[in-house]
Amino acid sequence: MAQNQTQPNIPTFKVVLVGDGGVGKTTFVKRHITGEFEKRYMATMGVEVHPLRFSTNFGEILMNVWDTAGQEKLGGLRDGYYIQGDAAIIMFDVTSRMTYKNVPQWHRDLVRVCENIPIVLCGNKVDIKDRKVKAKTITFHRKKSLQYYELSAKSNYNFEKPFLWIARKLIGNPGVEFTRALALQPPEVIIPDDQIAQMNKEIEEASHIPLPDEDDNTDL
Amino acid sequence: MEELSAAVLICLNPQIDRNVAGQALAYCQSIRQSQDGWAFVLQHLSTAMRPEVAFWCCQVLHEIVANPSRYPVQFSPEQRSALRAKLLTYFREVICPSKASNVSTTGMGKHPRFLLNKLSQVVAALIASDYPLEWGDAFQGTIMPLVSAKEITTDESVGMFLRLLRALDEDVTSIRASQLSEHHRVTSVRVKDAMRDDCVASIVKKCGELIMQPRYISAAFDIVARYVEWIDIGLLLQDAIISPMYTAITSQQECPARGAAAYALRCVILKRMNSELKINLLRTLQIDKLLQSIPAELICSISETETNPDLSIHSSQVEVASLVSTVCMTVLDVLKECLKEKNANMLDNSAREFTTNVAQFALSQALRLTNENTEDGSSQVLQCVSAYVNVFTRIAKSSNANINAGAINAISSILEIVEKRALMPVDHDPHDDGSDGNNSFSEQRKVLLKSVFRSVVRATPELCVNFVKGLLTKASETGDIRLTELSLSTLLVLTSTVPDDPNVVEVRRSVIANPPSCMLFSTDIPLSAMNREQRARNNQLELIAITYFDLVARSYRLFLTRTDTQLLSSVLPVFFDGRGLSHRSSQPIRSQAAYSLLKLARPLRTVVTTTHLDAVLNAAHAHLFPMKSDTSSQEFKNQMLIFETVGYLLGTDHKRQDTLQYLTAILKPLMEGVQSNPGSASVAYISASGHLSKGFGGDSKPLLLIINDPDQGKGSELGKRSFAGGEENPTKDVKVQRVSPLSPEMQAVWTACLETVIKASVVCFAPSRDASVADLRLKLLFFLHRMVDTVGSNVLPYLEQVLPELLKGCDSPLELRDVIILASQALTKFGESFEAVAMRIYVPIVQKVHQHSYSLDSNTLMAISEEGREAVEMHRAYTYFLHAIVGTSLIRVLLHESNQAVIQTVMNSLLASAVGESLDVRVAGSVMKMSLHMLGQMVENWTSSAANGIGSSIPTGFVEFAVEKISTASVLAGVKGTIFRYGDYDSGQSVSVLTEMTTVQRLCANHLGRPFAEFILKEPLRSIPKDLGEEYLSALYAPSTPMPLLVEGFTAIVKLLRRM
Repeated sequence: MAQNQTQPNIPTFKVVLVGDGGVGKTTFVKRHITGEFEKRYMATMGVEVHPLRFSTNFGEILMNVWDTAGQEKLGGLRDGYYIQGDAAIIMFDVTSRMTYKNVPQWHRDLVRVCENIPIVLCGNKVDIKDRKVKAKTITFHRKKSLQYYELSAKSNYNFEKPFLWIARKLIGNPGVEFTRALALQPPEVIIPDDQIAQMNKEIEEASHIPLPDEDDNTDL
Repeated sequence: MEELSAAVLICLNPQIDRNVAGQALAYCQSIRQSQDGWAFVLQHLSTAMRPEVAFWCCQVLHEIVANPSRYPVQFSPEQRSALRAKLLTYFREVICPSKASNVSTTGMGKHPRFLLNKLSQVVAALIASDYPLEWGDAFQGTIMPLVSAKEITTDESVGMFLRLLRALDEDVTSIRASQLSEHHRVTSVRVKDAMRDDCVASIVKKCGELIMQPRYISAAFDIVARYVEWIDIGLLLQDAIISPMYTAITSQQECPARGAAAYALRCVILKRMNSELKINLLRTLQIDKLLQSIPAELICSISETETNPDLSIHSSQVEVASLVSTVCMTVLDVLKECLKEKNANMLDNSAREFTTNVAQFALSQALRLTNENTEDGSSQVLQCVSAYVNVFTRIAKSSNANINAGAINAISSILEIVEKRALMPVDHDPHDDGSDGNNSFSEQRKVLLKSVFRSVVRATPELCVNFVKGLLTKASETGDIRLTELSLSTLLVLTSTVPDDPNVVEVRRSVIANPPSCMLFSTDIPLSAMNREQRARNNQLELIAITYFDLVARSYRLFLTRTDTQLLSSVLPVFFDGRGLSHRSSQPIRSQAAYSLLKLARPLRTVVTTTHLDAVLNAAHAHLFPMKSDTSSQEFKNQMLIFETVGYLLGTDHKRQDTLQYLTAILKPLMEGVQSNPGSASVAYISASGHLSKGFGGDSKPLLLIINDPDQGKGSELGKRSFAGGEENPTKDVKVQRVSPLSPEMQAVWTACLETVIKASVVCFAPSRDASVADLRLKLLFFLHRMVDTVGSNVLPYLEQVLPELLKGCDSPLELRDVIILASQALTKFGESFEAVAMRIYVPIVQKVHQHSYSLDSNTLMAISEEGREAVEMHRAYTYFLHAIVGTSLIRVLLHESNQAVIQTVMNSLLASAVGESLDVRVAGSVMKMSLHMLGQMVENWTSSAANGIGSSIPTGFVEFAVEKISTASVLAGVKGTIFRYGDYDSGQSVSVLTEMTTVQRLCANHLGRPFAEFILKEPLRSIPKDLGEEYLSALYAPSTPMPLLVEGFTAIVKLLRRM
């Protein structure tokens, strides 16, 4: 368990949030009101640490989310920030193919530093209709046994899913549930029900597509 | 030294004061960026007490070695040698402290994995840069001794050996690494060539030895899997490697290395080679024997976690299933190859028999490895089954023979599996998505039905019709709703795959005429109060109804081919009564009924209006009113679908007396609703009016009537509007349709509706950030779009009134885009008649558009922020709007005296868009092409003596502007345009834009004469050899030079300019 931002008697974990610039990492993590209020700014270091508290049926837990936004521009310790990470979220933008193309590199950098940690892959900005990374092309998580969720940080869609999955893995119990609704910023956009249904359908269909062979030109 | 350690640790501590942390980071950065930073870091590395600090030192060294151009470091050969020597000393110290000295100088106990991995990366980077020229003994002197029998090998040294090979693969020799850049490709080839001569054989031999040791076996197989792609396959085909691999895969006990062995063998089989060699490889590997020895039941029964988390190898079941699928797909690919005439003799009889047998063994094992609980492997297996069916069907067809008995047996067993595994479990709850968000049954069922069963249908439709008939009979005899559901679902697949098969048509007709009696179900128990079995039953009943409606909608041809209307009479009530739209408890059923009704009514509207109009309208009326107030609800959406359906029926035959009465009767309460709910409360009524109007537009005639009417379907506006990067002017050839096809009475009714809607919508003319006002604005725009089609030129006075007001209220780029699209639609449709409106909106549009800008991400060349993306979309719509103006006589608007204030803005914007330097790469192609096309048209029309009758309006100095600016843009776009930024000159889009650029140049040459050539040579082409430029220009000026040749020449020039 991470030692940073520890709270008395609360299990605390370090969760690393990575992904290309502009995919919405900061917007995502800022949706959590508590975290936004308590976060400690380290902008000049290319990292912000947001302490997010969750109430579960196994008690309170605290996830210190290390948002590594802008590290290319602002320098910082780059993959040094991953050291002692307990879990990770790799985020890409479903409206930008390049950000998905770079997912294998983020994954590789992560596992070199944090071997055998739970990792969630998140496709953000699914509220935008002009989607470029189609569900059927998202197969990386299946090759690497990651969990995948689609998110819309602006609409709060699926905000809790990555954290709940990570909590279950870190606590080691699939029965973990959040017992209190998360305090989130009000959504800025609403995703229509039919769009959500369509997205779920596409994700489900995508899971049947055979994985590309290992000798294909990318890991995607 | 202490300062550096403290600084690194501060940077990693989020609780430190922000200012202090900032200073620490600045200190670290200054070291990283300094000329001798590498020496300082190297010195610090050996004494670092904390692994985080050592990690940072390695990180800096790795970056400097791997990307020297990014750092102000100029290594002399001596310095480079010193760096290597010192680093390797540290490397040995880390692995085996006792080798270098009695006391570890690293000051750390056991080194954490993250540090070892980073150190491996540094050594791999050194190999990439120095091996073999400057560091020829990298392997024999440093890496192989880690595992040499002569040396004292330890867990650490073996572990480091494996880590190094992994890092080398990931960063240097893998296909992915070599594709990062040309530099990476060259490096990768150099290192691999040298390794082949120097050490590959020793590495493979060592892997063979490590495979014999249980603690290394998985990691050693992982190395085999990584390197097999580029090393001599002969090195691997030896007992030391293959035998343990087979032992692990076929072990009759739980075997931790089974997954890794299967993964490695799969990579061996995937190695690229031609089909003959591949079959030889499989024979050498005796893959048929291996397949028969895989203990599928045992593997499926083992509940296993990941065997080696460091290697990301999946469970045994997934890896073995993947291996079997790969074998199956490999031999099926070979068999497919053999089907080609030129490859008929590719395999001899023995090889063909071997390949066929392997396919059948693999299929059989694949089916055994698929069970209800499998993960990803199962979907691969099921794809394999589909491929098997396809290939064997094609083989049977190509030899004009029936599928042989063996294949029929295999297919029958596949159908048995479909029935067994696609049947809903009694307690299957689709709403329970499992602990990890997966619903493996649903996923597997979809693959079974949509992939496997569909493939079988294509291969042997008669077998599948009998299968479905059997299911229907069983369902009827047992009353099991699960069987009813499965029989309908399989019938749906049959319908979509072989819709015209007479047997399928007959089964379908019978099912449609006799809806399942269980569709009458309804329940008052809320879903949350149901137990698991009740929820499952409820879901199955819903699925039956949903599938039934879907089946009916897809079977509309059944109703066309029958002369009597009995079938339609028996089906239509099902949509409206308690089995469909009036279902008491199921919203999904109501939604499906509404959707399917529309899908059925559109193609059948002629039939329905002839025989069932009264009945349908009477039944529909109860669902049209009262209006649902929550416009975001599914019920409201259903209601809109019904309005649309009714609209299509009423819009089918305008000459009928009763349709006008019906239309008036429906529009009246809608207009009253709009009037009595002014402002955003009227959204629902406006939306309903818009949906109702869809049947009255230019595209409202049923397909059958259009096909039968020789005047329709050709030369109409449909299908000619799209620009889509094509070569035609989007407005060229568009038949201007000014008159509505509706009768004057109907037009009057719709015009009155339009007037009412506009009156009620004045609230959205003022700027407002209120979401409900924005929604109203959107609905009004949608309605106006519809009215452009519905009432024809009657809409023009209203557009003249509304569009300027709407523009005033537009704040966001997205809203502005929608208004511009409406203006473009009307402009394209009404041409000159739209001039008065265009005069009023042109300047506001230009001014509003130029208030918004966006910036691009330097890597992706895309607008990253949402606002940026919206601005990109708006800009594209704006370019289309201008293009529509420039391409018609409405160019007068652009040149009108009162609009001269913005002409400079427009021309500059056109030039910038033509060059495309700041355009989002997603839209750059189409925007550049349209802009270049406009500039070309201006050159063509504004430089001739008559100037098409608009001579006096042409901006002063246009000829000079064209010579200098347009000609420059027509060349530089090929260098600066974002679509060319990464050197892509071959894609369809690139060639299309290059062609447009060349066209503009030719127009300039024809209309501007020699001044154009002189300026081009002096300015944009000044950096290339003069004779090349002159040669191209002489070809450009020669009318006989074909355009493709010019484009080719120009592309070569642009590539040269890029290099300058």
